[in-house]
Amino acid sequence: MAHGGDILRGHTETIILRILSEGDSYGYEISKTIIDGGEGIIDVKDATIYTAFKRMEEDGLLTTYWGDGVGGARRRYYKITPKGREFYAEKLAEWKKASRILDKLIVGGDK
Amino acid sequence: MSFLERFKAYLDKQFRLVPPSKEAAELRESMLGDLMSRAMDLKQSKAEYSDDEIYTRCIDSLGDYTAMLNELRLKPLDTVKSPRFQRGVLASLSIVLFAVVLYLILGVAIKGFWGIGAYTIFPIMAVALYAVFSAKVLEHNVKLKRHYTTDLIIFSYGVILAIALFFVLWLAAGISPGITWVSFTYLPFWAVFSVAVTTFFLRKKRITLFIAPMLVTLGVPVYLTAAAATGLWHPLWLIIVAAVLASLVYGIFALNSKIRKSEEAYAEKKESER
Repeated sequence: MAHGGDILRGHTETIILRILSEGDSYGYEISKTIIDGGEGIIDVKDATIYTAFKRMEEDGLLTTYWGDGVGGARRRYYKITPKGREFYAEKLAEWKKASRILDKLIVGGDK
Repeated sequence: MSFLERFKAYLDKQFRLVPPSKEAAELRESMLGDLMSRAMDLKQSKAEYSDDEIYTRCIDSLGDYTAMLNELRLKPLDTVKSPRFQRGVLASLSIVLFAVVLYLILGVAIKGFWGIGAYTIFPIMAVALYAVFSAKVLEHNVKLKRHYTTDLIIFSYGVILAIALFFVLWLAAGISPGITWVSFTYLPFWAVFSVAVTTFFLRKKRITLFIAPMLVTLGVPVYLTAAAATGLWHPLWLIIVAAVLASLVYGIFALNSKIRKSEEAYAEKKESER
């Protein structure tokens, strides 16, 4: 079985954008969503998420704002931008194509 | 020791070698927010972790972020190396060189220009440099939607304008400095106005509360301008009284509206709880 990091590699930003396309969110909630959806294989660290956030913010794919947190700390919320939605749509189309080709090559048959 | 205190102490230690900057402060605060969210989540989970276990799990969840901290430490060097910064330095040097050459040419060509040229060309050059630099910062702020310095920059334009106005009216128009000094009295209004404009147009927030101080800070310089120009210090002081009264009346209506909204929200909340 591939390591969780291998599965995520190259797709972290797309996954984050997919999560944000469903609503604004913050670091812990996003990493929890990824881990919960990873069927026990994926364990993403906050450092990976923060690095992706920084890159995406610089590229104009998302914006941030501060919101209420718990226990006396503020949360930094992330919001997808129209450019981020366009980028996600491109990545999704790429993924669907790659997935179809790999399915055909690995699974075989008519797939 | 609470989780908040423990995480703060941990982050203080991790960030001790990072020079203070907005980016570092934001990263530190977002890490603290996420650590606290995770800790509270674990605390409420069925697994019944001890506080020490929760703390360790939270710290482990951060992973290896030394590259991010190193990047923050190397920031000044990276800035100097960046083509954008180098292009900025070249543009600044070009403006300075242009100003010096222009000064020399006009100084040689026009009789008596050396003195007046120094008073005009070099301040204009400094303003041009500042305009280029601040426009870049504003562009960056708008792009990232972070406006920590935006109101300050807009205010600085007001300061430059006030200084220019003072000298132009005095030296070029021949109006006595006893009158032209009033141009500086508009600065408090400009400060409130800069914050209000940034808050409304860029931060997309309401500016209801800014209206009252704007009325007062505008009333004072308007009075001083009118009085200095006409010499009618009395009874023009009524302008200030009118501004203060208008500000108070507006403040009462604004507060009343705010209280009414709070009452409505409270009533709605109570209704939904039933």
